[in-house]
Amino acid sequence: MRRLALLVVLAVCLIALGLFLGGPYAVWQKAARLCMECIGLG
Amino acid sequence: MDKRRHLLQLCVAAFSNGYLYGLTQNRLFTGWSKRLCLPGLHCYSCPLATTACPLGSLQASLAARDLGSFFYVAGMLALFGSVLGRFVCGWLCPFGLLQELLHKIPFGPKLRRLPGERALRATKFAFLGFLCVLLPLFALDAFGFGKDWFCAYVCPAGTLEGGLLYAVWNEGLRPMLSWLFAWKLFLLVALLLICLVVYRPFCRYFCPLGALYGMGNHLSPIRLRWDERKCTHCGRCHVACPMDLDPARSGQMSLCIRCGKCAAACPEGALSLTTRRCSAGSKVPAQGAASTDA
Repeated sequence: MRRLALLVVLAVCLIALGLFLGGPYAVWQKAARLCMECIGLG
Repeated sequence: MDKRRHLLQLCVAAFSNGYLYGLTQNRLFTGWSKRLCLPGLHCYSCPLATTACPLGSLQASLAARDLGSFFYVAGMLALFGSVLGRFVCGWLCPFGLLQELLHKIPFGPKLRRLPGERALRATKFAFLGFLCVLLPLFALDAFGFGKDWFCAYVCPAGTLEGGLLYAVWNEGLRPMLSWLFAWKLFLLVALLLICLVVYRPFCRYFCPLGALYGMGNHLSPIRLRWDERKCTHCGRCHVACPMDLDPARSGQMSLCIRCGKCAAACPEGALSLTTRRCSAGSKVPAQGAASTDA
């Protein structure tokens, strides 16, 4: 249980740091564009 | 239990791939929800996709060397993995649902495992390490950028949800179909055919996301509880387990997708899928008890 709590705290800290550094926008930039290689048309 | 599970799987699939307008307009969804990673495997280049795939986003963040998106996606993966474990695979993944439905088709023999099972199970860890982390990070092009190796050369969800849909619906893209599309189509067809014979072959052998979540299975509060006093060792749970595990010995192992079929098959009620901590007399099956599980 303690390990789970530690990992959850670490995960939340990582997400918060990612939010601070603009992570969601970078994810959106990639996900909102057609990736030719991903769909096998590269 | 199975009905509830399939209903939830369908709801998640409808949410993650529910942008029907995109199919008619031949364009991707660009709304706010594409900033979110849903835990299951799905292609964000699919015209129906409304959210981002965590595996694709992880590779993209490593390939672009973008710390912000890496921390964000790694945090999400750690959160999903530690809290839910492979419950994600059994209850939330749209691609897992497709494999299950294909396996229900009464065609050909139904095998519990393939020859070379142990080596095949290790493949997902190799895919995770090499195709999803090391190659995107270190195999760079002339401009110093990596690429999404797993998405580009393997991911069957991308071929099915993205490539095939675009090939069918968009005439302009058809002349661009190359050897890469043929390769990925071959992989997809082979996998879908194996699904008819073996239960969830992609989840068992090849899914890097499953490998990652499997590491969190023993930490997740969603677990199988085995009551030693009630168990008569009849073996029905082992027969019922579609992943070919012995739940009384290896319920927390990395392959268990928490489908609950073993609990439903137990006539004594010795197994249960629970989020509660174990009481006296019942216990979580031992982590190292079964040597055949990976």
